[in-house]
Amino acid sequence: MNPSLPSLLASIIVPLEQHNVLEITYTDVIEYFVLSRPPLSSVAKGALLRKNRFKGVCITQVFLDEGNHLICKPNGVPYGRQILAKKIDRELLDAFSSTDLIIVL
Amino acid sequence: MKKINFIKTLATNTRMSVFERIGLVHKQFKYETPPYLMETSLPCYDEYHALSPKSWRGLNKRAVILTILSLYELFDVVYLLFLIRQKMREWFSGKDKKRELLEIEKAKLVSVIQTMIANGSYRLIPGVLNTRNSHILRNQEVDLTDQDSDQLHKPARITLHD
Repeated sequence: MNPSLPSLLASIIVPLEQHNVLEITYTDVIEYFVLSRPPLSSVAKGALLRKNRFKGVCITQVFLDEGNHLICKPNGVPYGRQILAKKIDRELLDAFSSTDLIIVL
Repeated sequence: MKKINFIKTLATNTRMSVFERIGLVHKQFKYETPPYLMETSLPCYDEYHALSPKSWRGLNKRAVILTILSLYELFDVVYLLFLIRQKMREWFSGKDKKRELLEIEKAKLVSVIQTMIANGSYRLIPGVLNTRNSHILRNQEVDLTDQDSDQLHKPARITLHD
């Protein structure tokens, strides 16, 4: 990973809906992609981004089109959510492995 | 006649300054109907004009006072409109600024995602957005002979080509 990316990633403040949980699980994130998929034909992928925080982790879930651009609501805010969790379950950790991005198709 | 007496007092009271007189007349005219409007008879109108202080002779005092007052009130209204305009401008520019910031943050996020994809530093989980693969939601019950589920548990590291 490009060394400047983590700092850039940490500085991003997109006004997505925020959730605070104790533990984020693999099932939670996948369920969100399936159940909260925007009703738009342009949705091609989902992106799951991990940012390490001082106490826990911040998971950002957004939807992308074919060109890897954010799918946004009419007011310009992207579809998606941000979860601040103290822990990540084993399964989700394994899914991330050593990377900070998961693309779901 | 009460009003006429008031004017008479005003005219004969030489100890009062012009500004004090203006103040009194203003009060009288602003909140009460002027005598010549109440009593349309000519003597009343004449009496009213005849009782004017000497220093004001030759001027239509009421018109001058009312003009000054109208200008003052007009200035108030204009100033209020100016304040409203300023507030509206601030509000709209704030909204524009917010939208601009949102676009910058979105661009940063997209740039990070695209860079990571280009570098191949990501994991891929296929078959999630396709809701037919509902077994993904029930991880524990996955049939291990299922090809998709196998892919799910061992995500392939591939590079996407746009």
